[in-house]
Amino acid sequence: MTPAPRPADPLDENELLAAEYVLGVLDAADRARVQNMAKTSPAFAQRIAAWEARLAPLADDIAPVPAPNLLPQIEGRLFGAASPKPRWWSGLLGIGLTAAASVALLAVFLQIAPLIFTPDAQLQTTTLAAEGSDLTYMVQRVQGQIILTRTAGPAPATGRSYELWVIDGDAPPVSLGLVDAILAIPEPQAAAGYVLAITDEPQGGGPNGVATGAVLALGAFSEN
Amino acid sequence: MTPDPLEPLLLRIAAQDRAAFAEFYSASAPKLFAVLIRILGTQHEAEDAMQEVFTRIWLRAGHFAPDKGSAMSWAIAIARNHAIDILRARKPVQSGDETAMLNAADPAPRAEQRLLAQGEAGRIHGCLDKLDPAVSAALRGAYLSGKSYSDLALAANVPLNTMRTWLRRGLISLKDCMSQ
Repeated sequence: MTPAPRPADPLDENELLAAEYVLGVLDAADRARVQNMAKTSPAFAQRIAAWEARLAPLADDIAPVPAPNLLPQIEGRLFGAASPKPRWWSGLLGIGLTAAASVALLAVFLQIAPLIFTPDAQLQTTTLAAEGSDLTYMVQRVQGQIILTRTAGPAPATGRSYELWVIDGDAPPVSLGLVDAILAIPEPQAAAGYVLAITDEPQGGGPNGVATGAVLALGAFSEN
Repeated sequence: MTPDPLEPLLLRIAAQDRAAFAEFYSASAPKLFAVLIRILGTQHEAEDAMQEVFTRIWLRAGHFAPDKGSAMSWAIAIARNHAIDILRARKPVQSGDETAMLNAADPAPRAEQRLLAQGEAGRIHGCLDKLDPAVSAALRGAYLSGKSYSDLALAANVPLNTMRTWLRRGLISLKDCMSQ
């Protein structure tokens, strides 16, 4: 260890914000702001990780207590009750449809409810969303077409693309092309329903038609 | 550093190993449940939060970086973050919660835990001991309870800005001390 020069400079505001976030003293609005900053700035996320490591020993003061066995419920949530093996998207889906996403779904539902409950309506709407991502797409199924419209979240970053994938059961994802603000394509055919997922990929899409990036939004569709 | 027994489990979870997930649950649930109860206050809420926390552990295991800290610290951070988000989403504090809030400030860690502490852990406890005892108790209380600046200020009967300045000063001193 070399003796570090002792800078007298106070910690900058971002460093303090990261520390306060980890300490757990920020209010809801500031927490949301910090979580957004961590998403867009890897350097800031690093600061948070460093504070998490720094303060982690404080949790030593909490003595373990007997915990209920919630594993069956958790596995049910992640893998589905009858699913013989995990599907890579199933957990994400469980999460994607909790809390915030359900609120978004409800909002969309209320908006289009009059259409759905019109007897001859041919329109179905679903929201693609995922935990930890701001990106949401509204998906409408109309007469053999699906139309994706971005309803929240940013456009792809410079040099990146959003790629749309369809997943039929346990088969590998198949690319349906790139999507930005809006995309209309023929509806995928899958007997038992399918999952649509949007990933962050290099510009032009995942190399060799394989998804490489984070799943930013997804949703499940049952066959009519 | 002693090897982290949870680390290999987490790496297997990242590879979608469900047996490793069950083992990880058995090994970490008592600690994580204690963390959640401490912040959320009720068994019922802690149980709901547990399901979400372990769902996130399964989904995010691939993001775990062993060089950044132990597997348990990583899982505790997930649990604390979720619990604090729930706490902040609650309705404003009712007056009945005051006592719970005051009880949240923690006593100094027990002696045997200090003996177990090593490396980073030993350093932070040593550094906390060097701080003004009131500041150090406030930092511990804040970390363990998940209370916001406004809740802490209310409990200590000081203006919010005083509490913020106070804790920020503590955080700066702590970082300074730990980097020496």
